[in-house]
Amino acid sequence: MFASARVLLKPYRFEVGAAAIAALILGVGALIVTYRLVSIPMPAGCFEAWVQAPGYDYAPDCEHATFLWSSINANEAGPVFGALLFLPFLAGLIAGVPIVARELEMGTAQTAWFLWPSRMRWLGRKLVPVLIALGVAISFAAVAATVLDSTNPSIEVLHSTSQGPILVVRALAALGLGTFVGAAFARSLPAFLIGAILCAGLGSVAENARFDWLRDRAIPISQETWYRAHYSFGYFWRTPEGELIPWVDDTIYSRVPPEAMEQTEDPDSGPEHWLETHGYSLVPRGVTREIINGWVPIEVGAMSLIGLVGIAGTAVIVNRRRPR
Amino acid sequence: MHADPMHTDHGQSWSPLIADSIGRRYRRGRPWALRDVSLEIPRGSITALVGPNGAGKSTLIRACLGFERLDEGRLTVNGIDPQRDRSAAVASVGYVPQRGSLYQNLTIADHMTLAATARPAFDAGRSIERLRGLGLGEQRSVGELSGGEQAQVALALALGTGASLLLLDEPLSSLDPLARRDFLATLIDDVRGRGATAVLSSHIVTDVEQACDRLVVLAAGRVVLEGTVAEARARHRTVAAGDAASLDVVGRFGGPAGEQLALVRGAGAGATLEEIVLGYLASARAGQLAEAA
Repeated sequence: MFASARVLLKPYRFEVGAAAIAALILGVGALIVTYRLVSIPMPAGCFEAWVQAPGYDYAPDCEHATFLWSSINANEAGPVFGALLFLPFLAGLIAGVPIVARELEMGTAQTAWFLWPSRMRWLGRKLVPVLIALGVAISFAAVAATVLDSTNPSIEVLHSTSQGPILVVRALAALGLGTFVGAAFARSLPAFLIGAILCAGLGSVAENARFDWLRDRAIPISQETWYRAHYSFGYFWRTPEGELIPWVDDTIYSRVPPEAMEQTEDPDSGPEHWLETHGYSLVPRGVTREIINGWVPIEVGAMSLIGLVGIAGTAVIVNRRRPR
Repeated sequence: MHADPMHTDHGQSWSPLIADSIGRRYRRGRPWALRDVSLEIPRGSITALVGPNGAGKSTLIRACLGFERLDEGRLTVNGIDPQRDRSAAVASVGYVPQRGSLYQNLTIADHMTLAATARPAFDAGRSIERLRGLGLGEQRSVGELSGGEQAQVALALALGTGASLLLLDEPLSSLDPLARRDFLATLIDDVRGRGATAVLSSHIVTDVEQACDRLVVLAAGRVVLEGTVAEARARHRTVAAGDAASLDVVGRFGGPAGEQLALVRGAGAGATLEEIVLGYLASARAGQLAEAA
C-alpha cells in the first residue's frame, strides 16, 4: 500500500513537495512568531491599554513591552497571515493541476489507463496520497496560525480566514479546481494559469461574501471594548428612537433644521453638534468573535463542495477522455 | 461484463478480436479514420496490422481498449464490447502503446509496482526476470533507457498481465534492427509459449514479417487485405508492369531499382510480403485518386 502510494506520488513529488514544504515553512514560521510574542514579559494591564488605543499613549511601564509586541505582531505575524491567505490556493493548484494534465501531456495516460482497467480507481489512488500529503501540511499551518492568532487580544477579521479549517478547505477547493482544469486542458502550464485566475476569483468572491455576511450581522458595540471584543464596521447614528443610521449615510441630515446646518468656527455649532444635543449619539457597530466564527461552517461547506465538485468533474473528464 | 451472445459458448473457440463493420470519424466532414472495417483475429495467431501513417492502425487498436469511441459497427475483444464495458475489455488485454508512454522519472521497479497495484494478477517477478535477462536492472530509471530498452519495458508490462490478447501499437517504429529482433523474439517466445494472440501494428512490413503468421493491410481506414501470410504469398506474384496486361493486377508500384512492378493475383508464389503490401496500398491509393477525381 505504502509502496504503491509512494510510486503514485513520485511523478509529482516536486509539486506536492513544494506545496507541502511551503505550508510547513509557514506553519513553523507561525509557531516561531507565536513563541516570540508570548516570550515578551508584558506587565499586567498593558494589553488592555494597547487594545483600547493601539499605538497611542501607553503607560510608561508598558511602553517597551507593548512596542516590542506590536512591532513583532505587525512585522512578523502580519506577513505570515498575509502569506497564509494565498498559500491554500497556490498549494492546491500546484499539487492538483499535474495529477491528470501531466499524464495526458506526457502520454503516460496510455500506459496508466491500460494498467488500471477502472479509471475511477486510478484517479482515486492518485488523489489519495496527494490529499494526505497536502492535507497534513496545510492542517499543520492552519493549526499553527490559529495558535498565533490566539496571542492577539484584539480581533483581526482578516486573519480569521488565514487559519483553521478555512485554510484546509480552500486548499481542497483549489486542488479540485486544479485537477479539473488540468484534465480539461491536458496541459499543465495553461491549466495552472487558468486555475490561478479561477482561484483568485474564488478567493475574492469568498472574502466579499464574508464581509457582506458579517456586515448584515453587525451589532451596536461598546466603544470602550470594541478592539478587544468586536470588529468594527464603523460608526452609526443612534436616533432617540433607537434606529441605527450609518454615519456615511447623508439622510441623517434631513433631520437637522436648516439653521443648524451651518458649521461656524464655534465648536458648538453645525449639524453633528445639533444631533448630539438632541438625543442622537454616534455608536460603533461591529461583529463579535462568535459572529465572525459563524462564517466558518458556511465557507467550509462551500469550499468543500467546490473541491468535491472539481474532483467529480475531473472524474467525468477522465472517464470520457481519449488518452494521447 | 457484456459478453457477446454470439460467442459465449463457454469454451475458448471465439475469436479474441472481432470487428463488424466498424467506423470511426474524429470530426464531421473529415475523412473517416476507420470505415466499414470487418475482421476476425483467430486465437493463437500473431497478426501484423500494416498500413501507411494515418491508415487507421492506431485507431483500431485503441478502439479495442475503449480509448476511441466508434461511430459505426460493433467490436468485441475477448467477447467483450469495449464501447459498453471498457473496464472489462481493458482488463482482458495487454497493450504496448506507441513510444514515450512510460514514466520517464520512474524506475523499472516502480513501473512493476504500479502494474502490480493496478492489476493484482500482474506477474512482476517474471517481468523483472525477463528484463534482467536483457541486461535491464530494475533500479534503472526509464528516462535513462534507450528506445529499444523502453520498448522492452513496455512489452514486459503487457506480458506481465498474462492477458490472452496482446495489442501492440507500432512498438518497433523507433528501434534499431537489433532492438527490433530482441523485441520480436521476446514477443514470439511469450505468445507461442502461452498460446496467446497478438496484434502488432507497423507501417514497415519487414519489421513484422519474421514474427507474424497473419496479415491485415489497412489503407485510408479500410481493410484491403486480410489473411494468413502463407496464403498471401501463395496467391500473389510480382511481374514487370509491362508484362501484366493480361493478368489480374492488384496494383502497380515502383521497384527498388526504379523499375515499374505489378502485383498480380494467381498461383505461383514469388511475391515478398513487402511487395504484396505495396501492391495493395498502390491499389487503394489509385482507388482513392479515382474517387477524388
